[in-house]
Amino acid sequence: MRISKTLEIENDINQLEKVVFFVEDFTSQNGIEQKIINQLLIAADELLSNTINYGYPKGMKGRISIELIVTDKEITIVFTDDAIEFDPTKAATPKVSDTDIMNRQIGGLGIYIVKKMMDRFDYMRKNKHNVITITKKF
Amino acid sequence: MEIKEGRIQNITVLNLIGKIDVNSSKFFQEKFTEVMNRGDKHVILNCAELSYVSSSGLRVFLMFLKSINKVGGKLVICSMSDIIFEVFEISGFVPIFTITDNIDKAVANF
Repeated sequence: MRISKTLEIENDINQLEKVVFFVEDFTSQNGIEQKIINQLLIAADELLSNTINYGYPKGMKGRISIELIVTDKEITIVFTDDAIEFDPTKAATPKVSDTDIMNRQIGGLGIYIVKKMMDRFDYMRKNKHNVITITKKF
Repeated sequence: MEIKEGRIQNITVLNLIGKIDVNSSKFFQEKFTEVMNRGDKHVILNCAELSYVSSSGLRVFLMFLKSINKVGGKLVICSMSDIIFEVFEISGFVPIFTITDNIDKAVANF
């Protein structure tokens, strides 16, 4: 079995609502368990907000495609964007062990959550596009 | 997301409902500001009906804790689902927050 579906959005943070509906619709139709759906939604929120907020020069219009692929063993999301080149898999690991709350920073935490929560987190630069792939096994 | 506010004794209970993501975290932050401006010092954040939280929401949880500590108050989070606990654990937030299984145990912390 291999089923896939693609959504394309503009680089506007308000478009993320569309992505949530798209992922929820596709995953529930394919019988994915709720915990995995929520993990995918968190990862999509982190990656897309990062791309939209930091990947484009001010005022530049961009397109981002989100492809969902489900097989018997796993579900994959491929994000393809025309933002500036950036490999999130190489982002620095944030300090998560400091118990002094005044020193705690949120920067970098989102990508780190994706890294920890997903079974696969890959990046490639292809035809002037960033292609980010995340996979969660069943 | 939606936030239903309640009160138990002198404790403000914020029932967080739905999803806290990059867009809805702004609403969560507004509510936090409102509660702090009102001078509330005892707050429970009830996550029983919260489906998930992303890092933009974690920022607000952290702001809440810092502000409440500053005024000598107390913040307790209760009834987290596995996935919310997982996000807190990955982020190293578990040791810095007071977290309980249910609302009764949260109330007992005050």
